[in-house]
Amino acid sequence: MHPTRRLWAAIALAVVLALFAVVAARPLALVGTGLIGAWILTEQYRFLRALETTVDALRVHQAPLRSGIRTDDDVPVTLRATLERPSPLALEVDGGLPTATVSNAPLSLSLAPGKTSADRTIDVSWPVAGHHRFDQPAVTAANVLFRETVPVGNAPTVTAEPRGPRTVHVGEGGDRLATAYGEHESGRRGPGLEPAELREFTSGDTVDDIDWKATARLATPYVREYEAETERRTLLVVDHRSSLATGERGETKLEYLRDVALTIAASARRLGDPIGFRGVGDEGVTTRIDPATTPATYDRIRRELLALEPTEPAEGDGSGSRSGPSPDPDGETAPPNRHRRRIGVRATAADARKKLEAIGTDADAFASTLRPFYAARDGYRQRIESEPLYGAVRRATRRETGGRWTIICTDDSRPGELREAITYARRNGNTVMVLLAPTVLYEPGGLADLERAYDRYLEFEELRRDLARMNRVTALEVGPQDRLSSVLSAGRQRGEFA
Amino acid sequence: MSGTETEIESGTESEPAGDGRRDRVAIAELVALGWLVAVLGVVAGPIGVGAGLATAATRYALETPSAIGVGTVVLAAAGVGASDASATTVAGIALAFLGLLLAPTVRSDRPLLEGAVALASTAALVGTAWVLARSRPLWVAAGALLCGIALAGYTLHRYELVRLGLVPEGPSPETADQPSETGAES
Repeated sequence: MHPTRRLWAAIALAVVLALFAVVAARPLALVGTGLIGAWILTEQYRFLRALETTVDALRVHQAPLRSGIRTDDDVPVTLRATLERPSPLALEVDGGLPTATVSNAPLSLSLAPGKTSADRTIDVSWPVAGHHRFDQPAVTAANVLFRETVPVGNAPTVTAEPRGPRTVHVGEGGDRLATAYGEHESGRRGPGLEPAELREFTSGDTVDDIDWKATARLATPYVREYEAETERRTLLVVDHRSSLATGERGETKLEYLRDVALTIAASARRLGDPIGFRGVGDEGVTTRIDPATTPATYDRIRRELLALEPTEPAEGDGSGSRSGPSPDPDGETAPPNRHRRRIGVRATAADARKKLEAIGTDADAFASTLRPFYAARDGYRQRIESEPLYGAVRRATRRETGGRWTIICTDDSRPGELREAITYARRNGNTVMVLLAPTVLYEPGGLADLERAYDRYLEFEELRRDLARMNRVTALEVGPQDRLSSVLSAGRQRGEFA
Repeated sequence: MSGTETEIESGTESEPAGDGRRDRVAIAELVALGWLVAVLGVVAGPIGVGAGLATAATRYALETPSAIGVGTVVLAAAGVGASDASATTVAGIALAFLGLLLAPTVRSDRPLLEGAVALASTAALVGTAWVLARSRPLWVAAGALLCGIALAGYTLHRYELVRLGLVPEGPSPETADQPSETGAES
């Protein structure tokens, strides 16, 4: 119970009267002091009773609109105070916002004497992730002489989750992939640590291969075979061009693909597989890490993945295509056409151009039939070869012969370039895994029309299946599970399925 | 980010009741002032009537403590009870001003209880002051009176803290006996 200025004035008056009584030898003035003291005590008792009654009749409730939020989201928080009966005291109610919150208005309201309810709602954001507990609201009751603050009401808790990919779906046609990464068996017998089988000694086996314990046990020479240890050379190609920036903040295509790529890199580290990395931006290769099994390589790949940001579109062309070959960080460029003229190598744009020149302006049926073919092929070749992703995959895999596992993380905005890149990467017995982020699942507001979204998803699924039909190619979709479920539910309602 | 505010207030049920209570208080205070003038007139004669009127005028403009102060100063300055105030005189003066303390109780939902508090505190404080003034030096009586007022006020304050659960909890005996975590082991 804190005194106000008017109470201090009354106390001062009582003291003055007492001094007057002493100084002027007027004992009757002490009666005035006593009467003022009695008045103060009576008013104090009256305030105490009113405060008790008010606190008993007061209900204060503060609540955010939802208790599970993302960081930096603006969430309405409501403070409500109700009285069962009017109070003679003036009430000020202050909400107990947690410390790590940001709002441009205080969460407080007032109830004048005679009023019975009041509401106030403000927007609050939580920049810090974690559990945030409100403080109990503080109610300040006051009259002209006294003031007191009492905690009344609830103290809810809000959980702020950091922005980032939520449930990441990796699968095919809406079906989640059961196991994506694990031990890879070579299917061959040879030197290794894992025993495979025990068989009798045959001609061709060496004395070193004999398992002497089994031989002593079975009285016949036996050889124990082991699973051959292999390592899978992996090349991780992550597309971080401007189209990968589609999506909500912290939930873009690149964020989801990065999540999966980090898992792949961690799996390679756990298995001891050599892994390399190529980052592909709108201008070409942005990061090049050659395959290795050193801890420094794994760490560097992880750092580069975490630091990836979408690049800006190339000037003059939103698709990023250019007329010339794309450079990489080491200054390496595509060699001149004459150095690529080898048997078995697919014809280049220059070849198509020369053939077109050779046809010239002949008007016979043969030339007129071939001319449109070479003209279109020339333009297509030029365009594809200048695409950053195709160029990066081509330069990274052109010398690889079997056993290379290329993982391409990209979206579905450039299907032609992607097909060419996959076709090139799977040459010479190499395998390819494509992790595709369907644009329909990332566009803000893209699910406003679920029917339309489902149709677009079907188009994406057709592309994915088309890629998966290629030999030694696995094509998977990567996206937010909740949005994918919404799109698929629209298809189920229609009676179709992806 | 922007903050939106909406404030909704409701509750006008008490307005007619509030007006009624204020009327009752005003009437009660008029009655109390009349009582004051009448009793002071009986106790102190014309001087008492003058003091009562001065008290009423002060009450019209200021708060009750100011009115009490003006009234008692006028009486003291006029020499009422200057040499040896009798119990009757002191009681009569206290009774005259008691009306001003009782008038606001008419708006309470428990007027008898509040009135009893006013009566008891007046009797205790004024009686203590009179007894001490007769047997001790005035400064002792004044000091004791002021201390008594402070002690009573603090007692009510502590009762309020306990009643509303506002007393901060101190360290329990168990935690106070435990050794400090930062203490080094020998």
